[in-house]
Amino acid sequence: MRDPYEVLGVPRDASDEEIKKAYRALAKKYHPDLNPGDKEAEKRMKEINDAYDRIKSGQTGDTGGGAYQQQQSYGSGGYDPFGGYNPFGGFYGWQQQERREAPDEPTELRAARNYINAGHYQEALHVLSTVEKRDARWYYLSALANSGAGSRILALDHARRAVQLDPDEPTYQQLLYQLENVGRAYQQFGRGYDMTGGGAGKVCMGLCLANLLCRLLGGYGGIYCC
Amino acid sequence: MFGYVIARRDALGPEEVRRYRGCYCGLCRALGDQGRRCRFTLTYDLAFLALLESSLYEPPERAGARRCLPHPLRPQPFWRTEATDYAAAMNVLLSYEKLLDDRRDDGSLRARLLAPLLRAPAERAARAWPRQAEAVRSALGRLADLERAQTGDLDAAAASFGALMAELFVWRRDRWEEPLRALGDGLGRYIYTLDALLDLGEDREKGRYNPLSAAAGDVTPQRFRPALEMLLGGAAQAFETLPLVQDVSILRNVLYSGVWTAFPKKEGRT
Repeated sequence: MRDPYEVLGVPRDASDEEIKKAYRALAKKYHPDLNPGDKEAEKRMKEINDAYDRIKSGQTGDTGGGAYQQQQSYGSGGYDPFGGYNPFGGFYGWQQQERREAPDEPTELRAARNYINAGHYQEALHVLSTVEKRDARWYYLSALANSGAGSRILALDHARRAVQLDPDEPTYQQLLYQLENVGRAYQQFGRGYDMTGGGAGKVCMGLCLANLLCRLLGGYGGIYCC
Repeated sequence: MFGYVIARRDALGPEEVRRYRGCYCGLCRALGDQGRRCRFTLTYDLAFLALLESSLYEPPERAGARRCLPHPLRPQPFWRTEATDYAAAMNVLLSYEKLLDDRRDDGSLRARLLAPLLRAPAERAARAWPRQAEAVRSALGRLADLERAQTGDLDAAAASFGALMAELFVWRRDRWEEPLRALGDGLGRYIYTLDALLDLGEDREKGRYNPLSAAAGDVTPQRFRPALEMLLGGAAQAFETLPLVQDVSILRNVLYSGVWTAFPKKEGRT
């Protein structure tokens, strides 16, 4: 397979912007709408798309990953091996570890663990809800199950609780680290942008009655036209 | 929607302000094409959608400058594309379904008065974009069910709104569908969660439903900041995989800075 940077015609240390510009220029040139019935253009378009996807997902075929990967730092996310775009997909690799059982593990927790390993998160959550004693292990499994079920906020909260209750357990720390990584990636992407709260409170964008009536009666909008 | 997806103006250069403002005015004009009365539904959130889709697909732009009621003297420059028309249709669709929802909910006077006015243009938009219309209806329906059940399941409610936004962000079903869906989903979850946080005090006072009412401990926006960053992280990871060049600095301003505009400055009242 050709080197993706070569396909896009950019150097290996190309910036994010250079890669995107190069991709767009080529995509415009070989777009099927502009080259109807042209098999060669179709092939080129596919090659260009593949090259772009490979650079974006870090599958550039070299160990260094190119300068691009170093800038991007995607955290746990990216294109997951199951083919879908899933920034929270970092867990799949972990399930292997979950097979380990503690000898004194209560039946419910073991059942929840098995459900999580099998990807049956709702069942895991159901079993967990029947457990009264909520220790670090419970919060850890709950975090895993919630994350799998798409309950991101609760997953983060419970991972934090597990670490609070048992700060020395590395698997709990690892899970928390991984969940927090998505937020860390956000901060990294947004370096240089002002992320402090503006304190503007709820922004009323034209749903106040007075404005509404004014607009309705006038028949013209855009009161908030900047 | 809620008006949270806006740019932080003071961090934009003059040319960026011109583009952003032009996009917003373009959306207002596109809304006017769907029916004059549609213009009152104008939101910044949907201007972001117009800006994003215009950047991704770069459809031909039409630009001009026109006077309007709020600016009767100085003609306002605007630009619009086919993506602006799409965003306008989504704006009408969302506003109408929300009004119907409010009307069912508490028979609010505002909703009863305004819903009939939007009916015809909203039905046109729904015929043109059936997938999106269905997504809006089913998500608002799910939210209503959760509200009736008085659930404290913040994730489920946020995910419903995320699903709605995910569908709206997919204008054309092509190779960008998945990242667009993830971007819409993350932003939608963020918007819903932030709104629940900011409304909590008032909702408690008035005895209105809020998924955070049952939450243990002191519910402050600051406590939820890491969760909000995580939700936006999902959106940002998807955003950064899109090959966006045109207006990308404005889009990043919104996603990394502007979305925090309504967030309280520091620890304080909820």
